[in-house]
Amino acid sequence: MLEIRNISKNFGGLKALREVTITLNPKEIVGIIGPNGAGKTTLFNVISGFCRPDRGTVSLNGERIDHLSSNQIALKGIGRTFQVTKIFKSFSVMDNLRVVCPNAGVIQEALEYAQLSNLVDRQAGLLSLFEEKRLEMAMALALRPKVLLMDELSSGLTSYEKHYFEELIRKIKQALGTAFVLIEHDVKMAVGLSDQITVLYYGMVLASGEPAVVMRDEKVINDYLGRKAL
Amino acid sequence: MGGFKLEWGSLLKRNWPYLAVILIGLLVLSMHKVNYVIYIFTLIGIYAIGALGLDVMCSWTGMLIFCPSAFALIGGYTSALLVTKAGVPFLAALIIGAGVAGLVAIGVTYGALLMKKPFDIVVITYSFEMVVYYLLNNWNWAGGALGVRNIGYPSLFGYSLETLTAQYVLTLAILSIALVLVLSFYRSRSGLLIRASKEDWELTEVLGNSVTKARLMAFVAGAVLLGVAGTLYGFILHTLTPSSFTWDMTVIFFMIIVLGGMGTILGPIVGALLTIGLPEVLHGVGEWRLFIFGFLLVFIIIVFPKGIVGSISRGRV
Repeated sequence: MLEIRNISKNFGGLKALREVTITLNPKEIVGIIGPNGAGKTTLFNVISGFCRPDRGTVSLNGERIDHLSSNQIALKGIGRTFQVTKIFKSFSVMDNLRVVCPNAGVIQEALEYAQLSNLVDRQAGLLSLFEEKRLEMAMALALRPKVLLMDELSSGLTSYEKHYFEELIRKIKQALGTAFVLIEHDVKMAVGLSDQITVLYYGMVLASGEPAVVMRDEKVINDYLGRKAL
Repeated sequence: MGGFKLEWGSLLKRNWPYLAVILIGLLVLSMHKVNYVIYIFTLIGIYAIGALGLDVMCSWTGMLIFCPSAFALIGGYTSALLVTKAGVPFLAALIIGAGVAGLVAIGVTYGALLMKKPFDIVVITYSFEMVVYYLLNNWNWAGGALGVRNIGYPSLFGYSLETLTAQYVLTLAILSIALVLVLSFYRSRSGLLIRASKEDWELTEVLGNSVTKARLMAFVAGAVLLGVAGTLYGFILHTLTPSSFTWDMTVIFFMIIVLGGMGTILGPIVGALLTIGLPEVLHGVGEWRLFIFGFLLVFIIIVFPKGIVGSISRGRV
């Protein structure tokens, strides 16, 4: 479905991504973990068209998308959320969703998934962080994406709120067939949700595979997790 | 989902008293016995239409378009030449003139928008204003520096509007239509996308929208209104010269939207009343007129930093 092949991206002398390859199948959840500066968000920026890769390709259902603009990529079926929640704070919740899609039915469905139906007229700038994150997710869902890239969904959330999103992601995956790529600092959440885990370490793939296998990988333990995590 | 249909209707519903007071007040003025007063209020109406267009271009998108008078000039010249050289009826010429200004706006702003740097568009639009001025100043077929003369009176459905009062009512009617259309555009999804691209262009793009297209819509809409203002200006003054649409006029348009309140629907009307009307009121003080006018402008900006309407309404109008 989504194929990221040998992606490299440099910023001057900084090698942000080095030969990164990740494959995402339909209805699959891939978790990307790694320390700060590992290139996780750069990878999302490359997939969603915010920056062009220096080398390598990104394809969705066999069609290359790495030359497209970010809005074209979104229309092809790739939605994303941001590390620092991005919504239109001066707009109402409803207007935030109208920016994504004019279709009332699609908006209603997204509102119901995110449980925001009772807040449609609320100004988005007045929402709590939990509500903001739900709105951001509803906006991404209103795109009817095939793949949803979620950057640091759990940051700033309580354990109850994290659990809420875990359930929501499973529900969306099941009901809509959406595949997810999750960047997560909360390793426990990433491992619990993901079918595959990729560990990025200074721009390179340190390990990739099923969560249980990756968590036992010696390189991952030594370079990223540490012995105490076990 | 009922919220969808309420949106722009609710804006009108919320603001109709302001609109009604201003429009009725201006209509009553049309009964004024002194022609000069009616003439000045006609000019205020024309400037308000143009400033409304500039406000859509700049306040909605957050980009500086430095050639409003060029769009007014293009609209005005197109319609004036169509009437004087080809005998096209006034209303058709008005629409074509506005349309040509809108089309030219696409060409001027598209290239600059692709660069996505705010100052590129400032340089390109300012240069465009210079180019239009010098082209028309040296285009003999269009009258050169003397411009288009003997434009005649505006006419509607065979009736020639020869009195100043009739021209004033026509201006007022067009201003009212422009206000309703701009309000409607503001609340439409296109208007929403334009405002979204100002607030966060990255997010607007990642949600599947073309920011370039959204901004172009604003520029076309604004240029159309400026083209209408240019046409009315020519038909009220019966003559159009390139020198009437210089950098001075651009500054006046900007003063109007800043004094009235950028991004407010009523701001251009209040701003035009002040910018065009105040110097006339101050005629009595003789040579101190410009000094007092300048002082009052500074005073207004200090007391109302978001413009008069913007500060009083806190951005709700």
